[in-house]
Amino acid sequence: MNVETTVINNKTYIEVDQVDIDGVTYVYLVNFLDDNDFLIRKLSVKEGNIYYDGLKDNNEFDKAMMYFAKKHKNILNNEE
Amino acid sequence: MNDRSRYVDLARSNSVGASSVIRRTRTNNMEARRIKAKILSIVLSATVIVGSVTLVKNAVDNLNSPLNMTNLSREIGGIVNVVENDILDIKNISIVNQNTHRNGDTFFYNQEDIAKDLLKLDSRLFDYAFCTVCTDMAENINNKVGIGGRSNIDSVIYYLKQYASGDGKLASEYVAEEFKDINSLNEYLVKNGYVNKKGEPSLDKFIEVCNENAEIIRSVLDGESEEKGANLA
Repeated sequence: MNVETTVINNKTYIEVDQVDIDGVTYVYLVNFLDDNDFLIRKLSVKEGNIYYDGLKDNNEFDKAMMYFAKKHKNILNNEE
Repeated sequence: MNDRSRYVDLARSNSVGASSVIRRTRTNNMEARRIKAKILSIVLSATVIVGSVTLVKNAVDNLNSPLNMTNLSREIGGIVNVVENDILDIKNISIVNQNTHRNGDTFFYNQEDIAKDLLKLDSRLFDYAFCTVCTDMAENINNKVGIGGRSNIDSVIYYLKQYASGDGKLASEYVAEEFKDINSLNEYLVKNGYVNKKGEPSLDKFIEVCNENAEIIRSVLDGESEEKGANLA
């Protein structure tokens, strides 16, 4: 399966998914070597370039987490 | 705080307020199994924010619902803020999150202040608010970090009893009666009939019943907001 990888803070992350929330695209990145190390970024376009933007506050982080969990909730069926 | 909470905290600190950088990527091939494991890691981390796996599944199903417990938990926390702060400064943070503090890499709850905030609420909100405290504490609920080796939630109960039955402005006949002869969450759950089929105390049952009452809580919260708005007008 093809995935996009990028380097952030000198570590390689994989874009495991993108989720659109209220017109904003959130990208979920997980460390290539460590599944427990993950980040969330927002995508924006400025002067023809796509940027990873940080989240505004904890509420936005929580919301992005919940939408991700919503999209992938069926994965939990194996976890109870 | 366990490892999963630590991972969430790290992800949060690495995500909130991060600098904007140009997105430069390479396309690589990875086994679907490995990608699934990474997705699962994030989903499981969502349990730290919401609670148990069951709660995550229930919460995501009701994500946009104004009756979602996470949303109501924050609104209840916002009411507590309104009591002491300018209404324009409401951040709608849950009671537990308002009273979560950091000492280096260690996070801890101020159980006494959680209890005091609960007692500031209209008694009609107490049961539901107490439930949201339980769910917001998630897997930290039974960590024995309180005085005398009490768990987090049992420490909250200790202070609830202390202040509810005192003579100060936090005195509450309702809460004092609710926790009369009760010193732990398990005793509270059993007393109120929140038990599983084996008769064992069940937090899930408590949460289930509270969710059934979400509409009532919604109407009480709406009333509280109107009253606060009128008082500030």
